[in-house]
Formats: sequence, C-alpha cells, structure tokens
Amino acid sequence: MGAEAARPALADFVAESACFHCGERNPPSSPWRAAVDGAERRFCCPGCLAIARTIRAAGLDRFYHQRERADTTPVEPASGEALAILADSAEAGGLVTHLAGGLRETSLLIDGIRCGACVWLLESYLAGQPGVVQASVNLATHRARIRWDAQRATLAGVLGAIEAIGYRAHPYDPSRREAQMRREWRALLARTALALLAMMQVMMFALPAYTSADGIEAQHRALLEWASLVLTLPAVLYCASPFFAGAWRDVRVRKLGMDVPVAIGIGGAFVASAWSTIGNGGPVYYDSVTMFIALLSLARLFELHARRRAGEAIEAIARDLPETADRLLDPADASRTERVAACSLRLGDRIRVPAGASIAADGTVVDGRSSVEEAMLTGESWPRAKKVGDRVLAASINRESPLIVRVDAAGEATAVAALARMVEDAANRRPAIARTADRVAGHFVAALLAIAAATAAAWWYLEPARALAVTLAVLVVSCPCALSLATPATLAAAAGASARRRIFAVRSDAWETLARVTHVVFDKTGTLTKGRLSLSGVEPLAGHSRTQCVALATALEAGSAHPIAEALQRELAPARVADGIVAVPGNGVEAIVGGRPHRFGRPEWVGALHGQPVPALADAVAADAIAVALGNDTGWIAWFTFADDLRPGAATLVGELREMGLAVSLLSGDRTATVAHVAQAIGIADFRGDARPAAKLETIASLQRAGAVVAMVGDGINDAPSLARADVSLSFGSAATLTQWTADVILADDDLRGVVDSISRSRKTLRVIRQNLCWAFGYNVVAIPLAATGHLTPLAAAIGMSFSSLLVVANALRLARVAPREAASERSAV
Amino acid sequence: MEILYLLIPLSVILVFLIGAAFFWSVRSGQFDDLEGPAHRILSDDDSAI
Amino acid sequence: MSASRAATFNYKVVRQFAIMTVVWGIVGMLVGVIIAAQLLWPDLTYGIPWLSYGRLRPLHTNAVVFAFGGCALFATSYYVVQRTCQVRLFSDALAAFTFWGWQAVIVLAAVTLPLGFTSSKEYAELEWPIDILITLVWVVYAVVFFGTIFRRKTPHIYVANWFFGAYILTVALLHVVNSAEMPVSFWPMKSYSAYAGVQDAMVQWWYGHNAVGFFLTAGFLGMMYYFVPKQAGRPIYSYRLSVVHFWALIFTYMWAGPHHLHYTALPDWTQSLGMVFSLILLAPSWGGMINGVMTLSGAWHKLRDDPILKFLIVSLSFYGMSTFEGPMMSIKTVNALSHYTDWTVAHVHSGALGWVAFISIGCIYYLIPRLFGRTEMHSVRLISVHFWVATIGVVLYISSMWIAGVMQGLMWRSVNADGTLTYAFVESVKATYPYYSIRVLGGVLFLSGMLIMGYNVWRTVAGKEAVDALIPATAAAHA
Repeated sequence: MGAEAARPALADFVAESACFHCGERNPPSSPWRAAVDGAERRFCCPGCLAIARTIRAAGLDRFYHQRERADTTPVEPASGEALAILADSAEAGGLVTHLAGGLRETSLLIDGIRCGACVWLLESYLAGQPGVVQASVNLATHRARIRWDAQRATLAGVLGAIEAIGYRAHPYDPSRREAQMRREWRALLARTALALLAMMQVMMFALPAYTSADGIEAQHRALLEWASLVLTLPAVLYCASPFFAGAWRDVRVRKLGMDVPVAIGIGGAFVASAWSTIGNGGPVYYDSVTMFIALLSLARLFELHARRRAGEAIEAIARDLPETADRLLDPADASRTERVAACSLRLGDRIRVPAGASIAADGTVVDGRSSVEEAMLTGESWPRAKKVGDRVLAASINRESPLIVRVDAAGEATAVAALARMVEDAANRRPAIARTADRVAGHFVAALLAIAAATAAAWWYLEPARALAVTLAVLVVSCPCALSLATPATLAAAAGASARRRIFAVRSDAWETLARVTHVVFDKTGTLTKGRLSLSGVEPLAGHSRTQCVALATALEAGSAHPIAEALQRELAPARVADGIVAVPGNGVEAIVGGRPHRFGRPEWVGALHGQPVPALADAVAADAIAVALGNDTGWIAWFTFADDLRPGAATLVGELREMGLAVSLLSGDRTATVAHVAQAIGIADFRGDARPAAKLETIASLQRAGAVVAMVGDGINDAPSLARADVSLSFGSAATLTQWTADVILADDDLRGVVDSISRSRKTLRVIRQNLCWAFGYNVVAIPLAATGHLTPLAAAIGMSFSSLLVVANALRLARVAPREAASERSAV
Repeated sequence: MEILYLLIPLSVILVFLIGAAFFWSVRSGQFDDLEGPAHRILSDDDSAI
Repeated sequence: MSASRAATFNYKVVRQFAIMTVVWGIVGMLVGVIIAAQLLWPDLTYGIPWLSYGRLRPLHTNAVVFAFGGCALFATSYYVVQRTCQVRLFSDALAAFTFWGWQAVIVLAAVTLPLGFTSSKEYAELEWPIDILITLVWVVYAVVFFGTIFRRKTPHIYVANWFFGAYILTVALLHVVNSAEMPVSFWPMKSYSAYAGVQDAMVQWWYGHNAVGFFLTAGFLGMMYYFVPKQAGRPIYSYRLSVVHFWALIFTYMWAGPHHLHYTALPDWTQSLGMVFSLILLAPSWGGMINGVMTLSGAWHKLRDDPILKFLIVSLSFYGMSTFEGPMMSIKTVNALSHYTDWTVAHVHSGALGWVAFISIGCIYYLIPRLFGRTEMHSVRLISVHFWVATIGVVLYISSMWIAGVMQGLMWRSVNADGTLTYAFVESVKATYPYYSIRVLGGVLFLSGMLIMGYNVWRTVAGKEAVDALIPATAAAHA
C-alpha cells in the first residue's frame, strides 16, 4: 500500500544487526547473507538462512512483508531421521487416516505461528509440494489438516517441508479431551441455532393471533397453527433432546434435576398444542415452546463456552512436550546418542539436551550447567539456572549450553502431564458446592412438581378451561437455573480465568475454601524470600583481600550443595578444591589448605580451632543475615554475611491481605531473630521462629480450634504435614515442589500476587454464586405464585424463565474476564 | 387470502432448507476457524504485477 | 513461461460484466434523468408512445436494478468465488452463456418495455418469454457459482460467498413464484398473472421486498465483505460477527413484504406482521454496517487519500441510513403519511444510489485495473471528482424528495373543520414542482459522475492487453 519512504541510516544499522528471518541479533560480520525480497539480507545462522532461501525459492517472499513482526523463535531443525521416527509413531498411533483413492489425512499441531502471514506461508508452501492435495491451517487453534497422496508424498516429507520454512509440527491425537469438546460444542451450536431459527419463524406465525385475535379467518389461523406445528416438531425432537435425555437419566436414578420440569414443560406444551391443532381448536403454545428451547440452549451454549475456554488454558500446559529425545548409548560417553521417542524413555536413561531444545522428560542434571525456561508453567520466558543435581521438568527449554539429564519420569508420568491431568480432573469433578446445589435443586424440583400438581387440581375444579395453561405456566416459569446451570458456569469461568493467570486448583473444593479463609500463614524461606542465600558482605580480618577470602571459602565449600556454598559459587567459580573436606552438620566444613586446618562455619565452632574470642562484629550483623566465620588454627581470617532476599511484592502483599480482612502470620524453622527481621520488614506482627514441624502443625491446629479457616502458603519441601493440616494450601510451581503434590492450589509462576489473586477471585466466585442464588430465590418466590394464580400466560412464563437463565449465566461469565497483569520486567530473573 | 396456502408452506420448506444448510456448515467445520479466513483473503495477491 | 489455461482464473467473463456494468449504469441513469425531466416538462418527448413516462419508468428501474446492479453482481461474484476458492470457474461455456443471456434479457427489456409490453408488476414488468430466459440464465448462474464452490481448494467458504449464494437461490425462488403466469400471445407479448387481486398484491410485494432484500442487499453485502477489506488492506473487523450477521439476516428476512401494503385490502394481521418483522430486521442490517465501517478502525487516515475507499465506506453509511429509514417507514402510523408520496422515492434512491451504486462503483474501480494488467485506474483524481459529484447528486436527490414527500403526505391528509379536504390534489402537484427540479439536477449530477467513470474506464482499458491472473497454488507448484 503505497511506496516505502527512504530508510534512515539508523534503520539500516538495525537491519544489519538483526537476523532478517527471526529477529535475533546477528553475530558481527555474519557470513550468512542472501538476496531475499529485493535486497541482500543478513541472517544469524545457517538455519535461518536456509529457511529464507527456501521461502524465496518457492516465490513466497511476500511473507516478510505481511507478517506482523520478526520474532520467530529460532528452532533447531530436526534431522530427517527424527522426522521419520515421528511419522512412524504417528502412523502406529493411528493418527493418520486412510481415505479413498490412496489419500492420507492427518492433523498437526504447528509451533511458531504468529499471525495470518504464517498461515498463508504454510498453506501456500505445502500446497505447492508434490503430492499434497490439501493443506489448511487454522489460525485460531494452530492446527493444520493436511491431505496427501500416499503414492507421491510421505508424512515425513510433509513434516520436513514444514520445518524447511521454520515451523515445527507435531502429529496430535484427536481422541484427547479437545476433540471431544469440539464435538460437544458443534452439537450444541447446531441445536441452539436451529432452535433460534424455529423460534423466529414460529413467533412470526404466532404474532397475528396476538395482534388481531378476531381479525383472522378460522382457516388462516389453522394454516398458521399447522405451519407452527411442523416447525416446532424438529425443535422438540432434535433441539430439545438433551433435556429429555437428561430428565430420563435423572428419573431413572430417582434424582430430580433441572431437566425434569423443563422436559415436562416442553413436552406438555407441545402435546397440548398439537392436540388443539389436530383436533378441534384451543390455545396453542408453539411460540412458548420454541422460545424456551432456544433460550435455554443458548444459556447452555454459553456455559459450554466457559468450560471450553478453561479447558484450552489448562491444555496449554502440556502442549510443549517434545516427541523425541537423544538418549546416551553409553552413560559415560556423551557423544554417542540415539534418537528415540520421548515416551519410550525409562527411569535412569540419560538424555542429552542441546541448547535451544526442549527437555523430553523429568530428570536430574548429571552434567553441564545452563539456564532453563519453564515457560509452560510460567507463561513467560525468564530462565532459571540449573547445574548438576538440579531437577528439570519435561517441556522446559534448555537455553544456554548442553545438559545431560538422568530421567526420573517420562511420558504420562512427567510432572507436567500429571499436573494437566490433575487440574483437568479437578475441573471435571463436581466440587462440594456444586453437589450441594444439585441436592437443593432436587428438593426444589420436587416442591415445584407438587405445586404444579396442586395448581392443576385446583384449577380443574375452579375453571377447567384454563387449568392446562396455568399448570404449564407454573412448570415453565420456575427457574432452578441458578443452581444447576449457573454454578458450573461460574466455577468454569473462575477456573479458566485463574488458569490464564497461571493459578491452578488441583483439588476441586479449593475455590470454595479459599473464599472462606480468615488466616493466611506463610512459611519464610522459599516463600516470602527467594529461598536462596546471597553473599551480602565480607569483612577480611587478617589482611587478605576480599577476593582471596572468597576464594578460600569457595575452595572449602567446593562440591557442596549447601545454600551457602551455592551463594559463594555464584560469586566466584571455584578455582581450587581444598583437601580433606569434612562437613560437620550444624557447624560447617573443615579442610586442609596449604597444610593448615581451616574451618568455615558457625563462629563459635571456628573459634574453637584457635581459641580466640569471637569478635564484636558478630553482634553487629544484621538480624536477618547469617554470619559465617572463616578461620584457621592461627586465628580469624574473615567474616561473611549471607542474606536471603525477599521476593518482590512481599511487602505489599501483607498490606493487601490485611485490607481484605485477613490475619497474616509467619511460621518458620529459621532462627527467631532472622524471622523477626523479615516479619518486621514486611509488617507481619504475628510471627514465630525456630518452629519445628510439629510446632507448626500445632499452631495451625490451635488457630483452627479457635474457629479460623487457615490457608497455608509454603514451598512444599518440608511443610508437607502443615500444608495438609491447613484448610487450604498454596504452593509455588518451581521444579522442586511440583513433584510433591501436597498443595491444593499451585501458583505456577512463583508470584506472591497469586495469593491475593486467588483469594480475591474465590471470594468473587462465591459472591457471584450467592448473587445468583438470591436472584433465583427472589424470582421463583414471585413468579411461581403469579403463575399459579393464573396471572402469567405460558408465553410470558417462557420469556421470564429464559431471561432469568441467561441473566445468571451472564453474571457467571463476568468472572471469565481477566485484567492484564503488569509486565514481567519488574521481576528479576532468578 | 388463499395465497397464504402457497406462501406459508413455501416458507416452511424454505426454513427446513436453511436449517439443513446450517447443519451442514457446522458438521463440515465451517465455524471452526472464525479468524483465519479474514486474513487469508488479504494474503491472496491479486495485484496485476 | 506458458501456463496452461487451467492454471489461470477466468477473468474474461468478469471483464465483460464489469465493462457492461458501467455501460448499463449510464444508460439506466440517463433514462432516469429523462423521466425526471418529464415530470417537469411533460411534453418533453412530444407524446411519442415509446418515450412516454409510463413506459420509460419501468425501463429505468429494470435497467438500474437488473442491468447495472445485475452486471455488477455477476462480475463481482464470479471474481470473488474464484479467488476465495482458489479455483477457476466451474464452466467457461456456461459462464459465457450467463453473460450473453443476461445481455439478451437487458436488450429485450429495452425493446419491449417502450413498446408497452408489461405485466405491470413492479420490478417484474418483463413479459413471459423474457421471464423464461431469465429463469434459464439464472439456473445456469447457480450451476456455475455453486459448481465452483463445490470444486474449491480451500475448505472454508468465505463469508462473501454465503451472501452471494443466498442471493442467487432466493432470487430464483422469488422470480419463479412471482412470475407464474399464463401466456396469451408471443407478439405482442401478453400474459396473465397466476394470481389476482389482493392475492397478487401479496405475492408481488413478497417478491418486491425480498428482491430488494436479497438482490439489492444480500448480494451487495457479499461484495462489501470482500472488497472493503481488500481495498483497505485490513481484515474485516469481526469475522465472527459477519457469520452471525449472515445467519441472522437469513433467519429473519422473508416476511417483511406486507409493509408495502399497509392500509390496503390486505388483512390487518398481515400488515402488522410485516411491520414487526421489518423492525426486527434493523438489528442484523446494522450489524453488517458496523462490521464494514469498523474495518477501518485504526486506519481512518486511509480515507483521506483513497477515493475508492471513500465510495465503499460512504456506501455503508447510506446502507445504515436506509436500513434505519425503512423499518421506520414500515410502522403503520408513519406509513400512513409516507405511502404513495415521494418519500418512498427518496428512500429507494438513498438505498439505490447511496448504497448499491456507490459500492458497485467502488468495486468496479478496484476490478478494472486488475483485469487489464494495470496497477490503478488511468486517473485516480477523476475517481475523486466522480465521488464528489456523485455525493452532491445523491444528497440533492434525496433531500429534495424527502421534503416533497412529507409535504405531499401532510397536504393530502389535511382536512378542514367541516371534514373536507383542504387541498385539491393538483395543488400538491404544484407545490412539489420546484423539488422535482432539484431532483433532476441531482440526477444529472449523478449521471455526469457515471460519464466521468465511463471516460476513465475507457482510458484505462483502451489498447490494453486483457490479463488472466494465475491461480497461486498451481503457480507455486510450477515455480
């Protein structure tokens, strides 16, 4: 659209330094260049260069004009062998459909789609491949459906073609939850739309009877009624069949659900109307019937939509599980690997994960040091450092350098797959509140049917002509919909909104309990604090330089996994290792350096080596820091102080919780002085340090005895009993804790704001449920007597009931709106 | 108004045909992607160069 | 490299229809100006029977609706269905038949109507042999269009094609039912309608209103949903809304007809039905308008420099206006004032000139360069001139007719204290006279705009090679 203006010099500079394909920074004087889209371009690596060349060769350069931005993530291309394995496992797994005429069809999940231009590029390129009959890509769901002629093309070839232009495809299993949801959605959509169509037409035919009751000749009226009957019949038989099926199910198990009065109302009204039409005249209710069916179906459609969105957010967790892995043939030799399917990995296998690749299974790092992006949990890409001994999760992405990982769990046993399953189960299982709602609905319906019967009897006695209409009105006007319809919609909307905020409820009753919480108890280390010590000060005492002191301490702590050792190693990589290191639990480490015994640890214990008194500096150490001494047999060498930083947001957190009327406490096993310091820093008055696990348990129990509803927030490692004891527990989603599963709610992105978020959302949820119940109560109390005393026509009753249903569902759906979170830039990378 | 004996049955038949068309659309996945098609026409280059 | 014929789209029939759209636009509007002038100067045509008002008026309506509008619909539907389905038209021979057949229909209309052969049913005046020819052409049109869709390479059927498909099928039904007639003689062409009296009126206006609704609305909405995004370079504001819009329109449209017959012999309840459903139609119609106009959201600046976009977006504003005015006029009390007055004429022309003509003009300006291998029209400035001339013309036209219409309505119903009419009919005619002059001016301006377009089109295509575009998917395979 219009000619491009001449580029200023800055833009040229930028263009030179960013890869034309993926936007990453080019290495200086990058040798990878090619003429693409009318000019010579630079690329960051041979991969991007190859992709750009492929795109140009296919005549599809326009892609670079049309895409919205250049930020395609460079994906390491899979080898032909890997693709062949992938294709074979897809065939074996029944994911490829055989069609007539030698054609094959499959569905693929495509990674890397950013905008409509990507869709165009994929479709155009694939359509141009020999043997490909049809390729269509769905922008909304990132699914592609490919059809090819088995004589001329192969699935591996298709996958390779997709890789050649820079995307990655996974065959996906349509028998999963999502396909089922789609079928359910389509069926309900068809039913609702056809019911609306019938409603519009029947309303049209019914209108004359209302506007000019005497002005229609009898035969025309009959014609309009017959037309209405013919149009209402499919609405009753097809569109309303879920109501009849539901009612039948309920009656068979002797339960009274919402479907029962609905089914009786629809069936009764239709039969009565047909009787009038076929027989000798009388009132007809086709408009009421069709409107009722249409609007109720619409309310159910909205509820299904909420559930579907929640499901999609949850399913997104497990989306990035890779299909293949490089397994070491020999545990000692990292250079010889074989490519295998990820789900065939076994406990103890070692896999090599190159930089940029996705980790195929849960495991422990046995070699290498890198940083890993756990985007499938956090939704953001801030990497966590990993070294030997650290746990890593399947579907996270290795960023910096290769890792060798020993497999602890693979395939469906991985934490991520298990998380997805648990969350899904929790979402599907009806929580206590919904079960209660069903029970109450049952009583309500029983009462309603009794009232309807009584009404029928009374009117039959008083004025038989109106008995039917009044009874129908009573049946139709009542709305147990706040119970049976809106409650699931509310819970689904809340779950979906939470999932988008990376908060996952693993137990189905979590929301309800969270809303009733009065006390929030925090653990300290790893919860309010980052859980990681950092070196905050070094005080040399014997004339050495700071660096020398740190080097010495590091040498003593080399090979240790202690937090203090980690903090030191972050300062300075160990250059040498002391001899004869002995770790003395509770005190420190002792080793020989330069022939002399050295100690690094508790000041009193270090002092015992040389007998000199502990300097006054020990007392001047800030209360929240840990003081560690370094000394040898001749005297003190240095003082070290280590501190555990607060998580960002910890300070405001307490204020916000207080504003919500919650009491906040801090329970920790750390030294009381340290705990006190943290508590004062963020404003918690009620704190307790030096708490052993049993003491923590007792504190929570005594709060509960006093009537409090306690939420415990911990990192799950040593808090298991307390987390279980609390009424509801929340923990973070870091690698260490995900494997514990003691918490009810997982805050997957480690953000303390999730605590406030989940409590406030759960309160809102309960509030909405309560609002809906109040409305339902008020509405029914007013409407049923009105109907029973003959003040409502069946049409008015249908309109009333339908709008009441739509109202409660719409109210529920308000919860699905999620306000955007602040940018992740305010969080520091771990 | 005998014409109604023509027009009304005609419109009923029409409603069934419209219903059938809608049903077919849902089944064949016409409503599965309601974002992509808007972009696809723009990617189709019909300029005369 | 030589591409096989199968690898190109059939642009030939699109070219033919596109050129004829401009030609018939000029012809139809010229006739319109003549009859407007005749209302000012009744002796303008010296009493020549073939040029009498009664015979020229249906020629005007048929020419602008079916010749101008029809050719625009053929051209754009054939273009859009091919490009969105990525496949050549189902059959070149059948498509050619639709072109020549349709031109034959128009020429026959231009001959028979001045000769006085008429069924006297509005927008369906053509006599029985031409009705048969129309049916034939239309059936073949449906075969070509739906055949092309059947053969499509893209699984999803773009929303514009749904509108085109609905309009094709509905027009077929409407035409066949309304034009049911018993032929009496071939020359002079004469037949009797299968219906009579109020029955005929009902069928006629069931046809008449749905002709407007499907021929002049659904079909052109199909155009809008393709060409507005293409010209603006932005996707339609909400594709989801466009799909809902389509189905909502289809679900509610069929019964607005009786609003043409308020306070007539039609039963009261039918009239009320027509009124209520005309009002309900407001919602889906405006959904479409909002969808089209908001496509430019965030890019309004494009309107400044692009006259084609001006035509397209302004057409949507007129669409919104007409689809609001229409339901208002279908309310019985309002209709009591407006019926038989020039307000109806104003309403028709705001829709026909403001919506139908503007969008057709915009689409033809889009198409012509591409069909002849050029990047743009010979003169973009002339498109801009056309736009302003036409807009002023439309505004003059409809405002003069509004005033005239309301004035007529008020004068006709004005009664004295003793119950007699205040004004003689001829007094209202005299009062209307000045507004008829303004209307002629408006019409002349609009016609001038079309002449400018004709010139611009001629300069663009004269001496140029006709170009058939390659079908992209097959082109990529050959590359």
